[in-house]
Amino acid sequence: MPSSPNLRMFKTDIFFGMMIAGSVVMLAVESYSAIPAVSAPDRPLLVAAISISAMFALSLLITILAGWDRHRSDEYAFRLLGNAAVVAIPTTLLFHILFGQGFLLGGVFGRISADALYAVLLGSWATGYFSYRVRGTLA
Amino acid sequence: MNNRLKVLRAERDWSQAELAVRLDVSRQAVNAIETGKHDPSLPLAFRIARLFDMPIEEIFDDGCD
Repeated sequence: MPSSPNLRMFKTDIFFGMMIAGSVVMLAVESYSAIPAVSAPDRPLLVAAISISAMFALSLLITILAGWDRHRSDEYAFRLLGNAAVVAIPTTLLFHILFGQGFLLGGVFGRISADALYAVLLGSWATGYFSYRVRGTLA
Repeated sequence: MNNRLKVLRAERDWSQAELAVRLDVSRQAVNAIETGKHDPSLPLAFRIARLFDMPIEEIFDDGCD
């Protein structure tokens, strides 16, 4: 049975609200965590080949799944998600430049972990979602 | 883009939720279109036009003549 027109977006709102809360908690917790050193792999060429292959394979798979999702989703909701992703990706990249390297803020406050960057990605995606939700997809 | 969706809906005495069900979108989508916060895709614009039995350009106005 299809969900009511009121509930369709409400579920997305709840999901992204929880995502913001989760990312804030995750960032706070990660601030207390030490980042374990990652040693170079024994077979770097193999790891590079697997990483590059996985990147392209997963991207293509997600492209197909996203197309399927777009046809099933409410177009307004999907537009919100897409616009919010455009906010999240540069925010995460900028955050990585600021905190992920040994210079700039990373040199002052210490570098952040990959998990913290993941939290930034989720948090900025959710923030972008609510921003467009209030201001509209044309903002 | 300006549109007459709210007027057309009111003329039929439909709520936003009723219109949303007829268009198979969320009520929030209907609200966002009515308040000019979201432009519908071309397929949705066609569905709206068919539902109200009117040409698209009589419902939506991009301000260009």
